[in-house]
Amino acid sequence: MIRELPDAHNLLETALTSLRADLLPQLPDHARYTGLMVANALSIVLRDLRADTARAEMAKEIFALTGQADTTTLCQSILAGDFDAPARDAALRQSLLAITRARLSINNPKALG
Amino acid sequence: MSDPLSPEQLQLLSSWLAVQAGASAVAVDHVRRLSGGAISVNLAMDLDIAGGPMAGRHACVFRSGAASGVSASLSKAQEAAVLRAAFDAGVTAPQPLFVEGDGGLLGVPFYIMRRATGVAAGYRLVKAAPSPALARELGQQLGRLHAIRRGAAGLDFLPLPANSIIDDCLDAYRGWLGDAVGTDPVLAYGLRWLDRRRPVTGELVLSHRDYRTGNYMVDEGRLTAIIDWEFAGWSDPMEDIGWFCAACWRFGRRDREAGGIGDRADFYAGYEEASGRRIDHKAVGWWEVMAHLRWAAIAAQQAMRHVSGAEPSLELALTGRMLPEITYDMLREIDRMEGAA
Repeated sequence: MIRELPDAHNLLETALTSLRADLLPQLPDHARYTGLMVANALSIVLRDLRADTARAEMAKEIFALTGQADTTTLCQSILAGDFDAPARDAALRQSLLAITRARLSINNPKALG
Repeated sequence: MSDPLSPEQLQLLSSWLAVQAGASAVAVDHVRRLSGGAISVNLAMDLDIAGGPMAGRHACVFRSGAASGVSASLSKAQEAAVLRAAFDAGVTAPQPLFVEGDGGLLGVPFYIMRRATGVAAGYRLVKAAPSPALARELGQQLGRLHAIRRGAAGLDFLPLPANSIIDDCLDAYRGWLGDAVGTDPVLAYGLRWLDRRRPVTGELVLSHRDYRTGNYMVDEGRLTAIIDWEFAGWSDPMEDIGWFCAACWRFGRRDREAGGIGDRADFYAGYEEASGRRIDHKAVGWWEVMAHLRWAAIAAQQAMRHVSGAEPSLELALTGRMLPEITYDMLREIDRMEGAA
C-alpha cells in the first residue's frame, strides 16, 4: 500500500487550523454559529481518529463486567437486576463513569475539567 | 427570507382581530420573526386597536404551530389555556389576548399574547452576576403555578398520568430512547436506578415541565416572562424543581445550582414561601437524575432525526454527540446520592 502524505489526521488538523485562523474571524454574524458547529464537528472527528486508547479502555471495562465484549449482554444484565446488590452496583457505576470519561475524551474533553 | 405573513393573511388577521376586540379597526404592523423553536413559529407584532375596550397600542407575540401537533406538546389553543390559567394564578406568564385554535383563518392554529422585553438566552443570562433576588423570584413563580390543582377550570384537556407519574415518565423516555437502551449501558443503568430508587410522590399540580434557564426572560435583572409552555401538564411538584436545578441546565455555571443564575437555597426559599410546600431534597435529587435521562432521550431522538435521513442537520448531528456529557452528569448525580445514602 502506498502511504499518502500527509495522512488523514494531519490533513484534517491542518484544515481545522485554517478554518479557525482564517475563516471563522471573517464570517458574518449569521454564519458564525454554523462555522463554530463545523469546527466542533471536525474536532470531534480528529479526536475520534486517534481514540485507540479510549476505545481499549472502554472494551476493558465492559469485558471486566460481563466476560463478554458486547454491550448488549451488559445492558440486558443491568435491566434484569443482576447488578442491583450494593457492591455490584457501586462497581458497575465506577466502570460506567470510566467508560463515560473515555467517551468524553473524544466528544467533549472540556466536560472532564 | 420571505415575509412571515402574506398581505392577504395580514388583512384576514386584522379583520378577525377587529371582531375579537370589539374594535372599529385593528392595524397589525412591525411584523418580524423572533427566534423560534422547531415546533412553533413566533412573530413579534404591534397591534393598533381603534375603539372598543382594548383601544390602544399593544406589543404582542403571534405564536403558531403545525396543524398536526407534535407528540408530547400541546396544541396552540391548549397552550393558550395553560397560559391563561398561569396568568390568572399570578404567574408572570405572557397574557394571552386572542386565540384561533382551529386553523381556519390562516391555515395554522395560533394565539396572540403580550410581548415581554428582555433576554431569554441561557448562555447570556449566566454571564451576569449571581442574583439571589432572581433565584428567589423564580422559586416563587413556580410556587404560584403549583397552586393550580386537578379540577382547575379550563384545563380538562390535560391528560392525567395513565399509571403513576413516575411510570409514565419512565415508559415515555424508554420509548424515546428506543434501541439505545439495549446498547448503551449507561442509559440502561439510569433507567434501572430510577426504577429502583423511586421517591414518594406528592399531589399532582400544574407543572411547566420545561422550567429552566433559557425559558424565561429577564430585563435588567428582573423577570419579565416565563415562556415556552408547550410541554405543560400534571406532574409531581418536585419534577419542575429538579429540572430547573439539574446540572445540564446551568449553561456552564455548575457552581450556581439554581439554573446557573443563583443559589439553590434562594430558589428553594422562594418556592416554599409561595407554595407553602416543603422541598423534598431527596426527591429533587431523584428528579435531577430523571432530568438528565429525559434530556438524553430528547438528544437521542434529535440525533435519530438526522441519522435516519429524515432531517439532515449538523446541529441535530452534534446533539447526538452530546449524550456522554449528559449521562456523565447523570452518573455523577447518582454517585452523589448513593454516597449520601
